[in-house]
Amino acid sequence: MVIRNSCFLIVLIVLMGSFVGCYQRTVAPALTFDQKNAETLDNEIKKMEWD
Amino acid sequence: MFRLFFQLTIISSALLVTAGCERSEPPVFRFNSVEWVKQEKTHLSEGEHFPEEYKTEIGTIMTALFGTPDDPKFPFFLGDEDPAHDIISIDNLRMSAGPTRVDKRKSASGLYREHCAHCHGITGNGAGDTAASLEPYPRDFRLGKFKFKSTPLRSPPTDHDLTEILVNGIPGSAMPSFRTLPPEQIQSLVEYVKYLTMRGQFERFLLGELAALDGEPLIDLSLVDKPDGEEPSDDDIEEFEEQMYIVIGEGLQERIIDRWLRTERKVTKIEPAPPEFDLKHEGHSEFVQQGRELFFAKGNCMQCHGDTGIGDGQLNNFDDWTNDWIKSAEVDPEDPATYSDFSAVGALPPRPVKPRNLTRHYYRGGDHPDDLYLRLRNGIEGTPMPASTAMTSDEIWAVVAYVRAMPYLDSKKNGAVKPVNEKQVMR
Repeated sequence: MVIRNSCFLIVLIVLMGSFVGCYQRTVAPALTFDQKNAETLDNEIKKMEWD
Repeated sequence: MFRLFFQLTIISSALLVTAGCERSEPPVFRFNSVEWVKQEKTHLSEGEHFPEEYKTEIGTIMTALFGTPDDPKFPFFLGDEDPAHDIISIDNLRMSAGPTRVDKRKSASGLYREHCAHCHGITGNGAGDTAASLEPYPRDFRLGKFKFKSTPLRSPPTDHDLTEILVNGIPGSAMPSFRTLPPEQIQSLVEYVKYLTMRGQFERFLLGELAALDGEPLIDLSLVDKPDGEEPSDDDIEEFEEQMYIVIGEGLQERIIDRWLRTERKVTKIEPAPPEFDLKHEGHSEFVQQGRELFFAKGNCMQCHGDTGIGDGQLNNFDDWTNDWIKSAEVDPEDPATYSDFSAVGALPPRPVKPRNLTRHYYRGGDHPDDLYLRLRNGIEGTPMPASTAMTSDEIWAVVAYVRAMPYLDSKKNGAVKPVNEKQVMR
């Protein structure tokens, strides 16, 4: 009984590991940005008279 | 033996318990690298690349305007008076953005990540973790094209169109129905899809503009953000505002947001069906026969759907999401070596778009006669299915009647030829 449960647990962990491995698939790189410039631009956009 | 298993169990349990203890980085929007490679191949010689700083410049503008997956923003240029409040609400975006959770008041957030991101991706690029194994591929929102809608080609869908897709799903695809979600959550997801779409459309616009600028910045912040707090000159301010107007005023507001604002006014009117459309009408058989003749002649439907309607007429076309990069870069869809640069940045292998098998009685855009009328009248955006501009509304209704009768007709009696590519058609 203990052996069967242990086997079951090991198989479960291997499957979870495979799932986690698959879930990490990412090809396109993350968007890089300059935080300070983004804030400056945000402020400039708010300051501008758009209409 | 028992001891070995016991030890393994302890070790495995320890691994399981510690897995996930490390704090993960918050999700980020992904750069549109496929468009980047396409622009490189369009503007540069073989082997040349744009500077990496271009990516940061685009990322900075995008983040200033649209925020991040955990903290979305939307550019309401006119503040509280901005008409864009009619199509996007920040509260609704926040309900769909961020990590999935429900607070003590049962107020949900992170709906997009819970229901959509595994197929459509955090960025809405149609490249979620399950995307490669699905047929058809999940929709990449960034092109701004939607297939099943009540508006004409080149017009965005209405909220109602997107709601219908979410509520009913898309039969014959992996898109499920979310009918069990409360209406406010559906509306939140609709607005989040629009947000991702406009964001993606603008990123594509920026990439195209930057690629054509030959090294000049899109928006030169150094004109107004001087070192040591120096005041910018009037000329600098004027030039900066000109850049802002071209990139954000024209590129985002006029080309993208305004089109979404106008789309409700562009809904196609569905003309009422003639009495013969009714199955019980004595002239219905003749009406179906008229539809059949239109199917083969004026409508030219059999060119793609085949003589028997099983969708075996044209099997080597691609949709716009694939054509967008394979046509511009002279890619041979049959030869993976010719698109390895695109595959390396996440482009999924090209798959031909398959015309609908009309004998199966399920239709991706809905099986109500009005749905079929709209597919014929407006075509299906992003696919080879054209708008039937030459047919009158009665003629379209006749084709709809024939299409709806097709699953029950004996093709041999109708004089149709035998299917030619039966194994390759949609089931």
